[in-house]
Amino acid sequence: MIDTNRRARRLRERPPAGVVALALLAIVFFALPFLGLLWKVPWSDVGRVLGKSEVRTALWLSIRTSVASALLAGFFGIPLAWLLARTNFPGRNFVRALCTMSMVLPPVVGGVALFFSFGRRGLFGQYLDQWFSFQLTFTVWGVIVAQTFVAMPFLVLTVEAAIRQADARYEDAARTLGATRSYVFRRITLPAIRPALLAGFVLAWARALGEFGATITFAGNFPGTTQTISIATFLALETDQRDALVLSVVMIATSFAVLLGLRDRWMGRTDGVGY
Amino acid sequence: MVLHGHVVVERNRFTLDASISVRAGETLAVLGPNGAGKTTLLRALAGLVPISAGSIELDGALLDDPDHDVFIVPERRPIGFVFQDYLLFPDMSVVENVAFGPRARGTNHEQALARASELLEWVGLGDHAEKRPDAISGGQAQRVALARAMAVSPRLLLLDEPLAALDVTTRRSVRSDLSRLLAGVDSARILVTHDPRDARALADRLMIIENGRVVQSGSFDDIAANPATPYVHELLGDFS
Repeated sequence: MIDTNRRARRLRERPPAGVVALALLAIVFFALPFLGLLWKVPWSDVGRVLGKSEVRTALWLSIRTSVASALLAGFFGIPLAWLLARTNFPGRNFVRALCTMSMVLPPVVGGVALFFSFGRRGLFGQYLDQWFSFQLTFTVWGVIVAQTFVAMPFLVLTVEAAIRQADARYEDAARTLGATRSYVFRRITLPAIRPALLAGFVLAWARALGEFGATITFAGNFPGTTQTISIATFLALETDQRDALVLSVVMIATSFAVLLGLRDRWMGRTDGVGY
Repeated sequence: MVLHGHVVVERNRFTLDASISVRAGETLAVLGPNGAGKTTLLRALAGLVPISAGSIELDGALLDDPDHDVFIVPERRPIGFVFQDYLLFPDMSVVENVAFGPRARGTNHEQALARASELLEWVGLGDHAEKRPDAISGGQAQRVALARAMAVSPRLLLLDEPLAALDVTTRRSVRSDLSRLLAGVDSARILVTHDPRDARALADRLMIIENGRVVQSGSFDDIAANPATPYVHELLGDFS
C-alpha cells in the first residue's frame, strides 16, 4: 500500500528545530504571567471578595453592559459588514478604516474623542442635553456607547471576512428563485456564516467586558452606574491587591472558558460540509 | 419566439457578443470550449450580470436594455436556473430547497411544501424529501435542482452543464432521466454544455460559441455534416 507508506514517512518527519524552539518560547511567554498570577491568588479569600456588595455591583454592571454592547455591535455591525463585503462603493476602504480604527486606537483616545463629541458640552452631546435632557457621560448609557465603540470592529471584521468567503453563487441561486436581496441575506447569507457570527459576538463581548480606557474617560468611575469590573480591578490594585487578584482570576477563567468553547464550535462546524 | 436577445457583456479583455432566440417548448444547446462565454451568457439572461449593450426580451417583455435604461432584477425574471454544481442550500432539507422559491415569492409554508412535494414526486424523489443535500447522490441532487428551479414555474429554464459534476459511470442514465423530465417541461430551455452527447440527447437545436462569438447554429446533424470551424469539426467529427 503506497498510501500508508507515504503517510508513515510524513509522520516521521520532524518540524524544524528552530521553529519549534521559538514557538515554545512564545507559549512560555503566554503561560508565565498566568502562573505568576495564579500563584499569588489568595484562594481562601475568593468567597469573601466575591461576596462584597461593590464587587457584585461592578460584576453585574459589567455583565449587563458587555452583553448590551455585543448586541448593539451585532445589530449595526452585521449590516455594515455586509455592505463592506458585498457592495462596491467609492471610498469603501476609507469607510472600513474609519469604522475599525477604534480597534487599534489607544482606548483612552477613543474615550477622549467620545467625550468631545457626545459629552454634555460636546459637538453633538450638547443637543442631546438641550433637546432631550439626555446625558451619556457618567451614565450607564455612556458605558455601553464606549464599549460598543471599541468592540464593534472585532465583530465587523470577523463577519466581513466570513461573508467574503461564503460562496456568493448560493446567493445568486436564491435570487433566481425569486428572493430579494434582504430575503437572501436572512435565509442564505446569515445561516452560512453562523460560526463567524458567533465568533464575532464573542470577540466583541469579550472586548467590551475588558474595556477600560475609553469607558473610564467617557463614562467615569461611579460605583453602581459606570464602575465596571475592569475599572474596579484596576482601582483595587491600589487599595487591596488581594481583591484585584481574585477579580483578575475570575475574568481569566471566564475568557479562557469562552475561547475554549468557541474553538470547539469552530471545529464542529468545519468537520461538516459548510460552504 | 419566447426569448429574443442580443447579449453583449464586456469584461476585461473578453467580450461576449451573441444573439440568441428560443421558441416555446424548445431546447437550445449552447456548446463551446472552456472560457467561450457560455456561463456568462446564462448569467446575463438571468440578470446576474448586466449586459453592456444589446437587449433581452422574454415573452415580449423587456428584461435588460442598457440603451433604454431597463434592467429587471433576477428575482423578478420568470427564469429558472439549474447551476453547474446544483448549489442546493446545505442548511435546508431537500423539500425545503424545492420550497424555497415559492416561499421567497410569498406563498405560505403549507402550500409551498405541498408544491415542493409534488415536484419531488415528479422527479422521482418523493421519499428523499427530508434528507439533507449532502446525503443524496449527484444525480439525485441534479433532479432536486431541477425541481427547485421549476417550483416557480419559469417561462425559460437555464441549465448550466447539468451533467458535468457527475461520475462518468452514472452520466448516461442521468442523461436519459433528464431527457425524459425535460420533455415534460413546458418552459423554453437553454442548456449549456461542452459535451456533444448531451447536446444530441437533450437539445432540439444547437448554437456553438467560440471566444464570445456565435460561430454556427442549427440542428445537430446539419452542424455535424458541415462544421464551420476546426473546433466544431473536432467536436462533432465523430458523429457525422
